[in-house]
Formats: sequence, structure tokens, C-alpha cells
Amino acid sequence: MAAEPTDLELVQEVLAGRIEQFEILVRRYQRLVATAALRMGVPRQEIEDVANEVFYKVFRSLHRYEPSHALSTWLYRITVNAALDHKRSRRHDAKSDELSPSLADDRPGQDETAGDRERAALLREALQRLPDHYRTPLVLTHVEGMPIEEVARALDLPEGTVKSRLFRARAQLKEILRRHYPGLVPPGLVEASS
Amino acid sequence: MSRRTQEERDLALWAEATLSPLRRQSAEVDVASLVMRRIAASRPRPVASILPIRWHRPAWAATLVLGCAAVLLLTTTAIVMVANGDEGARAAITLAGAGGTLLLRGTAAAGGVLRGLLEAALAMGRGGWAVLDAASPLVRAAGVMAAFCGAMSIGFSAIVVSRAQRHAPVIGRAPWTRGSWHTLNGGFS
Repeated sequence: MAAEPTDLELVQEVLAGRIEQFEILVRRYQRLVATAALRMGVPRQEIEDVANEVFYKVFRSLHRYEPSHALSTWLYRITVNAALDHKRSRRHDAKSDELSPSLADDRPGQDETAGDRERAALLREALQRLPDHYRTPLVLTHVEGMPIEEVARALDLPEGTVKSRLFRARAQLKEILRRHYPGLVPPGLVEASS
Repeated sequence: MSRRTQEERDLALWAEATLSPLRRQSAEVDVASLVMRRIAASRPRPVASILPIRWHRPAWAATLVLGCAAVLLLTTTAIVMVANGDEGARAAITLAGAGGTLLLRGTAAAGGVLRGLLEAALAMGRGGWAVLDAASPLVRAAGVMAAFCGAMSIGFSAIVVSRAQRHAPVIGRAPWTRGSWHTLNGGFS
């Protein structure tokens, strides 16, 4: 069986004119992009549009991809920007319209229980109360599980800035949960969080 | 470990545990065909060729030869028509002649206007130069007069100032001069 082409090989082939190879990249990363968009607060029914936009942007700017970094990092960066753009474009809508899709979102992901879904919906709502520049590094670090240096690369920020924003984001989130969602604080960590 | 570092670690652990339900969330989409269709629609489509590539050069050569032949045929036809005294050809020749005459006369008239303008500008320039030439002694005399008046004014001002200094009343000496006890708070000298 032939080995699967690497991301870099596929990128080079697309840049050489074999555009059909881009479909392999899309299929390889569409779950990552969709999940990242969901975790960044994009309502589930609009994720397809955001993912479509992300991959179209990736194709248009593929010549700017730096192979020294992982393609996934670059994709995270474009997805984060697309999610923020999406949020800005929806800002003129009513607040309930912004929050309801997440709350009404009842389709389960893998390994999800009903309690998890409810907690996730409330957490997404709580995260929406954070400013974008705090929420983004927090989600990339604690939800996407990216190391600090990769978050810094994805957001094009110095590592020190990411660390300080993370610290403030955690503190703000803790305060938001304490005030508005006391039930969301994990029971074992009540002492540490107080 | 410092208190701040410990606090940061506690906060990181807290965030990790608190946000864990979001980590189990995922989304599935299939946008591959949509994206590929969009990309295809945004790219300019090449014009399909009806000939295989190896026929392209002979096709170009044939087009050139046929083009030259068409020009030759047209010229020959025109010559034959003129030679046989065709009415259309005669009308065309008359029209071309009238157009040529009109073009020549128009060009000549425009040249005349331009020449007239240039001559007028030159005449004005020459007149201006003559006026300047005639007025130069007057200008020089005016300059000398102005300089003389300026010098007189400076001399007169100097005399007035020196007289005023000589006759001005003395109201005290500056505090830094010798023998002076003038102080800021009203001392005596």
C-alpha cells in the first residue's frame, strides 16, 4: 500500500498546479477546523460556512505557508481569525440570537454525556463573556491542548504576551463562573479556586 | 517556589479541570466538495482548443498565409475596380481627395494661427525689453536715492539716540556695578 502523502508534499503539489490534491488536505483537516470553530463559539449550524471559508482562505494564501511550522498551527490561526470575523459579523444581531445556538446545540460529540453537554453549553456561554484576546489563548491552551509556543505562533504573539493573557483570562473566567455559574466550578477544585 | 508561580499553577490546573467538558466536544463537517467547487468557480477557465497541440504551429502559419492572401486579393480587386472606372471606386477616390484637401488646409490654418501667436508673444517680449532698457537709468537713480535716504535715516536715528542717552536722568546703578548696595528687597546704594 502506498504511503499517504505528507502535508508538505500535498501543498507543493497544489502549488505546482495539481489543485485536486487540495481535496485530500481538506478531508484530512476538516474535523480539526470544525471542532476548533465550535470550541471558539461558532454555532454548530454555521460551522460548515466557517470551515468552507477557512479552507478557501487557505487555498488562496497557500503560497504564504511556511513549512517550518505545522500546517495544523497555520490552520488554527486561520480558523481563529475566521471565528472572530464570524462573531463580529453577527454582533449586530440580538444577544439571545448569539447565545441560543450554543445552548440549543443538542447533538452529542464523541464520549459526551448529557451532563457534559449541558456543562459545555454553559461554559461556552461563560467564555463568550471574556474579551476575544483573552478567550482565544485560553481555548487554544486548555481546550485544544496546544503548548504555549504553538499558541504564540498561531496568534502571532510573543510567548510572554500569551502567558500574561492566559493568566488574566483564567482569573477573569474564574470570577465569571463564581458570580454567574457557581455550579460549573469542579467540586475537587473549590478550595483552589476560591 | 514563589507565591505568584504557585498561584499561576493552581489557576492553570483549575482552568484545565473546568474546561474539560469542552474538550470532549467535536464537530463533523464534510466541506471538501463545496470547497473544491468554490475553488473551481473562482479560477479562470482555459479556452478549450479544438486542435491537438502538435497542430498549433501549422495552424498559425496557415492563418498568416491566408491573411496575406486576403490582403492581396482585396488590393487586386481595388486596382481592377479603379482601372475599369467603377462608380463606387470613383466616389471613394473623390471622397479621399476631399478628405486629404481638408486635412491639408486645416493643418495649414492651424499652423498659421500658431505662427501668429508666436509672433505676437515675441513682439510683446521685445517691447517689454525696450521699456526696461529705457527705464534703467531711472531705476538706478531711484536705487541711489533710496540708499542715500536709508543712510540719512540711520545717521539721524543715531544722533537722536545718543542725545537721548546723554540727557536721560540717572535713577540708580545696576546691582552688579562697583560700589552699589542695591538689593532686590530695596536696599540702599
